[in-house]
Amino acid sequence: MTLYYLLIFFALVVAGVFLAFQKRNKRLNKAHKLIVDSLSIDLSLHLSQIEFRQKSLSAYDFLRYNLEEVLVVQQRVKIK
Amino acid sequence: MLSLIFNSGKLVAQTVVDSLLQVRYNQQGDALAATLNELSWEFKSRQLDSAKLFAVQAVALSNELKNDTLLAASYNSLANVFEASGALDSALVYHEHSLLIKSRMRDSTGIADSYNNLGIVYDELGNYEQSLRYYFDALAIYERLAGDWSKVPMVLSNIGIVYKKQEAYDKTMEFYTRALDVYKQHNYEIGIAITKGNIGALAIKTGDFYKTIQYAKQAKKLYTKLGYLRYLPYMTVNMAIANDSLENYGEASQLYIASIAAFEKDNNLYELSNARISYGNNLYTQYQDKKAFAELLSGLKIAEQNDFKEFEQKAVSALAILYRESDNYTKAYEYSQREHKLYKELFEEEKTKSIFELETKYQTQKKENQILIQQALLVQKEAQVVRKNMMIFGSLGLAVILGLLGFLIFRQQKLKNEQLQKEAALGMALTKIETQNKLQEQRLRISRDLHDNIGAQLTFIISSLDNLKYGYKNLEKGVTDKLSQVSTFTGQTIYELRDTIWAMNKSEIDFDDLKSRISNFIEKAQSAATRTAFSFDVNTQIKNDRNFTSLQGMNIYRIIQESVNNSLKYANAGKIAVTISENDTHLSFNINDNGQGFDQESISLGNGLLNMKKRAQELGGDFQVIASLDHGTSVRLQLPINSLK
Repeated sequence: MTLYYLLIFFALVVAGVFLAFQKRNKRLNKAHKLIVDSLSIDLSLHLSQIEFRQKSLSAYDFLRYNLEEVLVVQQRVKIK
Repeated sequence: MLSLIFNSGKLVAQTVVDSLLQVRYNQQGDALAATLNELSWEFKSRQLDSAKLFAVQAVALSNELKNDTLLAASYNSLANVFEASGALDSALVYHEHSLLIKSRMRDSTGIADSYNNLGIVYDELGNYEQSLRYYFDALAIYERLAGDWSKVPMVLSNIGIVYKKQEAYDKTMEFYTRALDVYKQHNYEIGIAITKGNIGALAIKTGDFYKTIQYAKQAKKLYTKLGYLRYLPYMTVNMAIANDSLENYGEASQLYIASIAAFEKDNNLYELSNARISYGNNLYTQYQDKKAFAELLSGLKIAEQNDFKEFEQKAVSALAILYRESDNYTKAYEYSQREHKLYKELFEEEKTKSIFELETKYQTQKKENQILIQQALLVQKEAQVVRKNMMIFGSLGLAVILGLLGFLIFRQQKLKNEQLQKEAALGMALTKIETQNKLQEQRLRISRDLHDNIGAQLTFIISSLDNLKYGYKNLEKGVTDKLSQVSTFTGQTIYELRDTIWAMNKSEIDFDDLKSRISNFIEKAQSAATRTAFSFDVNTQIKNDRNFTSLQGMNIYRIIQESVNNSLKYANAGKIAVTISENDTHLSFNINDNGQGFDQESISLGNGLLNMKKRAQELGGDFQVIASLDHGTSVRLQLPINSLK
């Protein structure tokens, strides 16, 4: 009888430990996702800005020297 | 009385024994062990050695089979054999073994059976207190279980027997009556008959002779009905004793005669001896001395032949009185002496028996103590085993939990590290891209400043110079030429400024881009110098995916531009050829013209050539100018492929 109760206690402890770790891992994953999402958004913003600028510069016709159109102020990126 | 009932089935039992002896050869395992136990039981009342052998075989087989139920039954068989052989201590030990196994199995009926058996053995040992304790324990279990009801009156009767031996007749009557009630409740006639007979016999001890007659009559009737005729004389002799005591001598005589005849028929010498002596006393009371002498002497003879000392003494005592009444003093003295001697013998026997009983009690107590110590040790050992098992299981459980914890912590740490690595990589990428963006933004700002400020100022200078040239028509030719030269130089500066801005805003320049730029420049030169034939060839083996940094691209372009300009300005060339080629190690740019050339020994290098050399050094390449008078000029730039981006 005692062994039976001990087994139940043991199973409960194992399940409890497992669940606690699962919960903590879930929380870590959630926090990580938030950080990664934020970084990814910043990264994609910069990438899109560089892409936009490169596209504009590539399209620049040097023979016509209309540099003004290319050298527009880049509003979307704030350089620290 | 019960033993007599069992004796009546001897013939049936013989058939059973033969059958069991035969069947055991075809059996094995549990069935064989069960048969051996049955054989032990059957042989217990015939051949104790065989019974013991069967029981020992049953114990060995049950042990081998690891069958606890059979092992308990086998120990029981062995205990019964020892009990029958009078080795009551051994019987106790094996009954205890059986009880221990049954307790472990939680077999309530089996435990009660063992208690009953132990009660019987302690009763035989004269340890009535212990006997009663076991009987009462058995009774409590039997009454609680709704199983075999017949065991309740059996134990009740056994308790009654113990009380009777202690001469506690009221208690005996109480338990006999309770047993009778149970038998009546279940209408179990043989049980009723036996118990009534027992109550009748007990009533002689309490002096309730009418009750003896009543119960003996009832029992006799039932025995007759059930066909157990061999037990009738017992009832008859009890009725005779009761009538004798009630001074119904005539009726008592009739009953004694009937019982004597029955005992003679059954060859029951013990009871015959007793009945004849009692009848002799009855006849003496009725003054029938001659018949009394005959019966007493007959009873005495049977007692002497069979060593029934108590009846011998009873007969001798009665004969001594009878001879004295008959004035035969010699015989009276002789029998008195015999009586005295027999009394002494019986007294000694009783004393020996008492001493034996005391010794037995002491031995029993000693054995009990040993059993208790063994049981305590066993319990202690079991507790130790349980504790040890708990420790092992506890340690295992702890190890598993710790292992699980370790594994989970490791997994969590791994997850954290992976996440941190990913975050760090993303952070680094972000920092890099931020720097790149910032750099580009700076370049763009510088470019814009260059264009808006310097470019505008240069344009203003050109415009002012043109105004001067056209505003002042009468200017000297030398001044006009100088103004035109300054204007051209300034225009060239604007071109170069714009090229610089172009290169600055390119993080890298691919080969196609460079080719297109050079091609554009040659087209412009062609349109400016129509008398000169330009050609621009690019070796098809050059990989189109080759890239240059903006500085490399700018320097290559400037060297080509300066060379072509020099050819146009100073060589008066009719043909200018620009070629780009590649081998395994180098990328080569050649600008050849067929102009007037120059003597490399006599002409010092101007700013243009020095600048080209400097640019070539920045590129990490080899720069050569090969010229001779009237044989044109060749400019060659060789760049190691591994120095390119």
